Amino acid sequence: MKEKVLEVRDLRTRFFTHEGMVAAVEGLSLQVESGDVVGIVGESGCGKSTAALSFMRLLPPQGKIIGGEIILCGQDVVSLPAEQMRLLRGPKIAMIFQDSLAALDPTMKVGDQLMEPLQIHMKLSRADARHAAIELLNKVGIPSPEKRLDAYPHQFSGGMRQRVMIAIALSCNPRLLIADEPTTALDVTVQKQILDLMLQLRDELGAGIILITHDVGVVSEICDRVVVMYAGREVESGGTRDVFLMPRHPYTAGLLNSSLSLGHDRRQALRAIPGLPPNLIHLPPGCPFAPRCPRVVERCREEMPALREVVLGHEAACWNMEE
Amino acid sequence: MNSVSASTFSPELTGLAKKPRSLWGDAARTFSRNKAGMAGLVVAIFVLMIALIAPWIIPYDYAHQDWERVRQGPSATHWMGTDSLGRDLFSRVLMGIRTAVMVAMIVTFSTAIIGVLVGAFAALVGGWIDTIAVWIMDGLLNFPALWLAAFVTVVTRPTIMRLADDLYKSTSLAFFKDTVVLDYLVVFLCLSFVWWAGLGRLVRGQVLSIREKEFIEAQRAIGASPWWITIRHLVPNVLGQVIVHMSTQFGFAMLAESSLSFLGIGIRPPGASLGYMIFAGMASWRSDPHLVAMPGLTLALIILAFVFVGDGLNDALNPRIRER
Amino acid sequence: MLRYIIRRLLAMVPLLLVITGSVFLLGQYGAGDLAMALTMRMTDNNFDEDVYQEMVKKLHQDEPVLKRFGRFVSNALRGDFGVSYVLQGTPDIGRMISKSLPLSIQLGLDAIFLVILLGIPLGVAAAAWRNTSIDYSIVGVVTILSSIPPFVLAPIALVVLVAQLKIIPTVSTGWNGMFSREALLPAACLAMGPMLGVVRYTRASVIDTLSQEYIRAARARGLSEIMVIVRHVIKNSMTPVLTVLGVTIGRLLSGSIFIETVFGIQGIGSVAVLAFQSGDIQTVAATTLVTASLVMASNLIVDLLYGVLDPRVRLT
Repeated sequence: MKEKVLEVRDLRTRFFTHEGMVAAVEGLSLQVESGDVVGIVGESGCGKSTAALSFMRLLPPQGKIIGGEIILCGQDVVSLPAEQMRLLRGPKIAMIFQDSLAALDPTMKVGDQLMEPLQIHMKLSRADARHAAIELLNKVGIPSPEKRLDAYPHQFSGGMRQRVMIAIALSCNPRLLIADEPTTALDVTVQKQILDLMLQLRDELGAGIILITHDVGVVSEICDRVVVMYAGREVESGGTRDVFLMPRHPYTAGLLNSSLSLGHDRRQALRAIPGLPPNLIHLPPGCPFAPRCPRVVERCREEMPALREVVLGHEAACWNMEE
Repeated sequence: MNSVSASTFSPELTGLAKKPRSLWGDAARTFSRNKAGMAGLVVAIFVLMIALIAPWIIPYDYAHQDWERVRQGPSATHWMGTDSLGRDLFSRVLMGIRTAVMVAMIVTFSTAIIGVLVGAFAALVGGWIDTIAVWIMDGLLNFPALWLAAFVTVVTRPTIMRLADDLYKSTSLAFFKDTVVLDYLVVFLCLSFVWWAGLGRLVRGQVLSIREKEFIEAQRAIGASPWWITIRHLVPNVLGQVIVHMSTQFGFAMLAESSLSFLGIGIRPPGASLGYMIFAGMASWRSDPHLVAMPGLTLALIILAFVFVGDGLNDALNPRIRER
Repeated sequence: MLRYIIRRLLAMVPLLLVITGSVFLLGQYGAGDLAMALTMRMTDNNFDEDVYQEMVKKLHQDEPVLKRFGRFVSNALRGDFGVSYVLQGTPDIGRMISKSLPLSIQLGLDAIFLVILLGIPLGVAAAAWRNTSIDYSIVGVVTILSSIPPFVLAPIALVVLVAQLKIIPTVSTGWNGMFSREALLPAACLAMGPMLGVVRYTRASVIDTLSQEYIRAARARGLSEIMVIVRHVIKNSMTPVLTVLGVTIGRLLSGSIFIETVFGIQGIGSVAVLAFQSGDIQTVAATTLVTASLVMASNLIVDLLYGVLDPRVRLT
């Protein structure tokens, strides 16, 4: 039974800093249904993490959502009072953070942190919460969970700790799971285990998953659909196979070219995208990718390209798309 | 485009074509935005000027006793009133400021010199000498500051008195008979002797951390003398911390001088010290509160000014990562 | 944990040596030829060789320095600091200290309670409402009160509160125990000095903690702001505060000298002041040594508390 877990329409998020206003997310729209795995890809600073934080309404004090709608399980959460939003975090929407060591309180036992959402949202007693916590640790594949409950974060290996994070995120059976670079800090073999675990849980729980990463390899592994972001905007999106086999936007093409694949010819240098990401405080008019684009034309510098559906389900924003 | 070339980082592409800013210009700008710090700076400069020209601007001779006008409150002729011997309080307060500033200046500089030398030396030399230096510095820091200062003062005063006496006998210079000068000397020496440890530890820490970094890099890269590189990088880094420390030290030094004088073992009459004035005024605090309030508030105000300046300097020179 | 304790204790030994050594040397040097001075006094300034020799033997001045130092240390450990030759009736210094020290400790503990009970919540509040007028006023008021030296603050407090505003009817001198009403004003004046450090460090530490990822992760689990602060922020913010508290002890002891004088409390500070003013080096040396040891002991306690607060410290 497919339900629309998340619908985002024209989300705009800004940061108000000393140096100026940063347009971190400019008009992002996407949809996630239960059982979907949607990837959001882009360079550092493209706005993908900010988008995720916006979905959870966990922006830092300088960040504000200034427009758009975020409809979570049928409810628009943009203007929801803080206390009500809090009740959604855990049971409806949950997040797996990138750095598992930084995302766990170093002075509190792992078990206590795992039990927190159980006691708050599910109103379990301490004893019941403990049982549930052990079950959760089992589910994510952590051996001897009873002992591990009383350990501290720094006593775990990276992979184990990431599993703990996943357990915490899953504890209240959320409808939407956001994973922010869940495998970036891990070895490749551990990466695979974690990704497999996430897929397994997706099948068991039927939640929707948003996977945020800069690693296109990970996206092609497990994501059904992908959204490519640049300078706070969506530049291309569609089914993973479609987008990766036939990228329309030059940026997407550049990303794919610059990543390593098994069949890569070692004598050929990796093609980096020239230049650096734009300064989001002082954006030039027109397409933000224009300064670095190999297919740039005059119109690109003057007018911001709009998203156009190229093929069914596959859209891109470019005046000079690859055809 | 098959490879990354130098042109990939041209300013137009990166949007980073801004003017370079110097460290000190940055610091000055940050400081000027700090309202409390600027206010403190104004007061501090004012105070320093007063200290400089006090003997020439005081309306009355600060030691002159007018028995007609004993213990008067503030009035038009005596802006801060008079004390129990009929001396004009305003003049005495101004001279007291001068005393405080003089002591603070000398003590701050001498402790800074000792601290920097010992700290840097210990860090650069390492080994046993460093270990012993650390023991000494940590040991000194374990004393409640004032106790040790007072202890040293009480111990060295008789010696200095005797020394001055001998010198007077041999040279007949009135300089050595002046008790006020001797008081100053005692206070200088004692505070300097006691206080350098804080800065010493700070400098040692800085030198150690810089030494680690630069030493290793230098060995790999140019092969230039590690000492030279250490010094070149040491100065800008350490200087910031040293300056901040000195500015807070200044306020503390004034505090220490007044504390010692309050206890009667620092600058004593006929010398003028705010601390001593407060002590003297305590006896009649109910009837003549101005005797305590005037020097007390003045002292508090000056110390406050230097605290603000120190804070401002700290923010300006040691910027912490701003919250995003 | 035990290993940690032992390591800390061992690290203290050289420091103790430095402390006792410097006190001893200063004391010896300052006393000058004590035997001579005493002889002169006893014989009305008619120097008598026999009396002098007797004095020298009595004061062990004929022994080598190291032996005297050893004697000094072993006596000190037993609380024997000799007698004061300056004060009336040559009272036993050890007894003077043991009678007056508890009062000072009580005063100091009162002050520490105030600092913790007021300073930490103020720091947390300033951090929670940072860069608003609440923050500025808290930091501003505390800065002002704290920068006023204790011997200025106490008399001014007396003048303002008692004489002008008549909030407190009279000033009672003396000490009636830690929780008496009389203790409030002196303890408050004493607490003002360290208060700024605690407020500032708590504020900075809480701001720093609040920007940590695990706080965001806690909110992502659905914790309310209050729960976040109570369960996660406070414990993680305490380490720098503990550092400041450690330094505070020394400041409290120094400030105690003045507060006790102003409020007429017969603590070790008052004893010391009398000794300072009368040049009683023995007593000065003894009190300095005792207070320095107190500071060292409190630093040790602070170090141990680090181990309690942060498991990473004690488990490595």
